[in-house]
Amino acid sequence: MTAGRRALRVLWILLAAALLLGWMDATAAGGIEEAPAMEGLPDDLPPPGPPPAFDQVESLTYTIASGLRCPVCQGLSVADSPSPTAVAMKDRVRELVTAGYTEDQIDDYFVARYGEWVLLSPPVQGLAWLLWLGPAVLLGLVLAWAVAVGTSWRREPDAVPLPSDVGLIPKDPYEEQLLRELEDDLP
Amino acid sequence: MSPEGAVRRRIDIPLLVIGLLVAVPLILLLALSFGRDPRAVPSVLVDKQAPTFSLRSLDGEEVSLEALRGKPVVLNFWSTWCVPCKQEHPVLQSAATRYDDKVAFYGVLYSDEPVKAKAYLKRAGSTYPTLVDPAGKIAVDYGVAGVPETYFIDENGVITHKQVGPVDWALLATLLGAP
Repeated sequence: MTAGRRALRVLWILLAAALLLGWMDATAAGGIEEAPAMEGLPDDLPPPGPPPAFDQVESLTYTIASGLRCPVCQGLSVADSPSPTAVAMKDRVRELVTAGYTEDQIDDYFVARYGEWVLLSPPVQGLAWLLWLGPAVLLGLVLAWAVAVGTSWRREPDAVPLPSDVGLIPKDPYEEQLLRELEDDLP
Repeated sequence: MSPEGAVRRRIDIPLLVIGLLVAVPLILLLALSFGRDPRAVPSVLVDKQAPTFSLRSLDGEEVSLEALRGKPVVLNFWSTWCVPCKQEHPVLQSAATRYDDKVAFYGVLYSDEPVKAKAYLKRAGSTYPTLVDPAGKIAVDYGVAGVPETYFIDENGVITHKQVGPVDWALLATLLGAP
């Protein structure tokens, strides 16, 4: 009985050692295999994340390319232009997407080369805030002014004394006569 | 003229403040914007490390930028369908001969077929190698918008100038010194 158990224990240890060795071997091989995938990628980018699913590459490429301005066109995105420059840029986007880079990282790559200009919707910062918030602030001010003026117009003009009553303008005889006659005509 | 006769201007302070609040930012914005050329594609790569590359020339020779470190490099993106490229071609060809021991000249074929480029260079003359950039990968790495574009890279691999449009002798003399 004891000999059998001892044999079983040895077997277990051997099995565990074999599994451990196998796992280390697999990771080492994986590490070597991943390295050549980096070839041809720009040297200023960080290592990419996990690559997207194969059927997502085209839609991701299109989304990112739609946000990039074609440098040789008038108001066209890289996704919409058939020019050689746009095609080369789109190919680069596809390559970076396939390698596992995110939209932000790819945008940064193009901004580093073509400037912020290359983004069709540049980030809101600095003077751009004025463009975004300015009209809203102006509209608010105008509305506030309109409300203020509107309410003052609606108020009944009761108890407003005539200039003559306050004594600002000296009453002349013609005006006095006119007022008297008007009062006489009233029922 | 008596002092009583002088016209006293009445200043409406609130109106003045509102007027200034509207006018000053507008003038500043226009002053800043009118100086700019809306067609200019700004170059952000100047003073940055030049993107590295390893490309094959039309003759099949392998060229990498890192191997050229220690010597200034003139990198000219061109193609056979580009008219200004043909205009600057003789300047660059003779410059490469004159700056022979000082500066390395390289052409990069942009969106064109190597066969056409070879035929053109055979006719128009070629004193330095032209590299083939499949799919325009390196052109995009350099932020090339169109041809011709020429990058001046110093001996440490830093881009010192980007020339959009044809290169002439005056520019070469300014950037590279006398041959």
